[in-house]
Amino acid sequence: MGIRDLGYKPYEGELLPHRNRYRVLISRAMSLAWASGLVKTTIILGMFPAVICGVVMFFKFKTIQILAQNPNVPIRLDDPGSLVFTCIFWCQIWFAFVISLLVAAPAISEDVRTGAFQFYFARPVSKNHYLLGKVAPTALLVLIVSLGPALLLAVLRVGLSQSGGEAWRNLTWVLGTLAYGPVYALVLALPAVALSSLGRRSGSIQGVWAAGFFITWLLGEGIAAGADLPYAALISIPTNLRMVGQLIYGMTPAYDMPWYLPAGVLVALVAGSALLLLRRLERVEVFS
Amino acid sequence: MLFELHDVNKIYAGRVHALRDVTLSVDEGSIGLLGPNGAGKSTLLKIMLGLLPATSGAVQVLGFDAASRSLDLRQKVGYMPEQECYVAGLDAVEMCAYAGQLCGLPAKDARERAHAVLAFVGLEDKRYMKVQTYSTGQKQRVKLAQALVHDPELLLLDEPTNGLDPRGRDEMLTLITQLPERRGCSIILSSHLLPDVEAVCQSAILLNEGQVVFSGAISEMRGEQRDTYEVRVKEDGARLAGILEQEGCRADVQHNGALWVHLPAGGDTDVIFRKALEAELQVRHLTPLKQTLESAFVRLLQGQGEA
Repeated sequence: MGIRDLGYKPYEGELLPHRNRYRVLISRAMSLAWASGLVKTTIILGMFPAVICGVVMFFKFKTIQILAQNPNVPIRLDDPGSLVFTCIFWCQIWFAFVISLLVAAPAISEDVRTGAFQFYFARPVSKNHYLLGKVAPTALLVLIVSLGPALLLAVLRVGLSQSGGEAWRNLTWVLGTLAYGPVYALVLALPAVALSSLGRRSGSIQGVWAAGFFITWLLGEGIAAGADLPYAALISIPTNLRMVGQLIYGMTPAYDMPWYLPAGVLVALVAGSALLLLRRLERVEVFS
Repeated sequence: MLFELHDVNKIYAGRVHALRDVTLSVDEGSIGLLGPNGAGKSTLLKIMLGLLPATSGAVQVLGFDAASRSLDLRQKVGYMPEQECYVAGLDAVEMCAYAGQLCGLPAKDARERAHAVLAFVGLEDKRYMKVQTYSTGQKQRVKLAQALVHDPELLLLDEPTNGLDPRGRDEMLTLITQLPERRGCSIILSSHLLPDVEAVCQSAILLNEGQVVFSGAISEMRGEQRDTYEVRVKEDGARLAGILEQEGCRADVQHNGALWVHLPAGGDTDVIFRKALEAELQVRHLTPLKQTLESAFVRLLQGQGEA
């Protein structure tokens, strides 16, 4: 194949300032993720639990109204707003986890495998921008599948309120979801991206992330319930996430322990992941 | 001035002295960066792009201080790496456009220029194929295209002919040779293949053990030795060598039987013919000795070792 010079025109336009370069990285990563059929399917399927929870919330609300008119019936149902937490934690965690598996776990390992560090860092891309460009897309996609449906449910709960005062009280479901969503996204995105920086095989990284997530969940909850050792639940990422969620929504925590323990574990997990990422990126060689 | 380095030192982990008192001042053009493995070439490039701080000294590239304005500097530099380098899942157009955007081009301009540079390197027919499916030669071309997309002032090429067949290599070298004139950019070519450097560059920097052994024009590096000649005689070159040495010349018999005769200062080739005639030896070949870049490279490195 010959080289055919079809003419060359020097670039005469302006170059954009490099301080916003992370936006280019994020938008490219988002479009690459969206191009994946699995990611698209996960996001679309992730909307269904919210629809089901919405229907359940409506009927539960109606049932509570009927029960309120018959004080002799000895049945009491909790506030239908609790379905917001059920949805975001028990339903959406599966979809959010799949997103972290598909998007976060290969985020850096693929760059290691294909030598793309040279592509990025020989250009005006700082390591902080690169990191943001890797973590933010996963976090945003996790937010879409977790916070999005839960927020709709929380708004529905506000909408079902029968008085201004009740609507005001139910706003806590909206505020809780807005506070919990970013925590949720960080906990699912950052450790997976950090793991991704440790190797070049995306499949292995995905395996380690899945094993770490589910085995600690099973072990933590199993030991806590079976041996009556509630602190054992702290080894589980999902259990800590659940307890922090219950704390944010003002619900009774799954295990009786000070609130700062699960919160501290999550903070340590996120901070440790960020430190690991920074250390790994410090060692990146652009020329070898 | 393309770049200037003043007393640059780089010491890794307080022990390994990768660069020692490097002082260079290089004008625009095509420059070969040469040196054996571990000579400090990669360290020099990293420091020049601000990817690594120098332990001491000052570095200015394209008028930017490499330490404090590395991002501004990298915006004007294109880099073609030696190793495989692509972004998984992207075709050549997307990858070049992405490269352009990362260098500051607006999305639309980046896309337009991606098409232009891919045509420039001869990949217009295959530009919508995923880069990971390309052959080695095609990947080399994409790497050159992504380095050119933002119209850099300085192009760093690391072993650009790696993995190319002879025809592809010639085409790549032709293209690279034309770049300074057609695109107005300077080139720093780091290569182990000295013929590549000879084909592309007018000047060279030779590094060894972190020190600059040579910096200047390629012709100067080759050392056109006006007082040295290659001589072939019909028989017994060793006898002529002995006779010439009595006349103050230095004559070395080469493994191929030729003599390398170094004339004394102010000497003339007449002495060779005269002495050969007296000894009844027939001179069949006499030509000024021209060193290849390879022999000059070895000579300079040996010279530094002896020093």
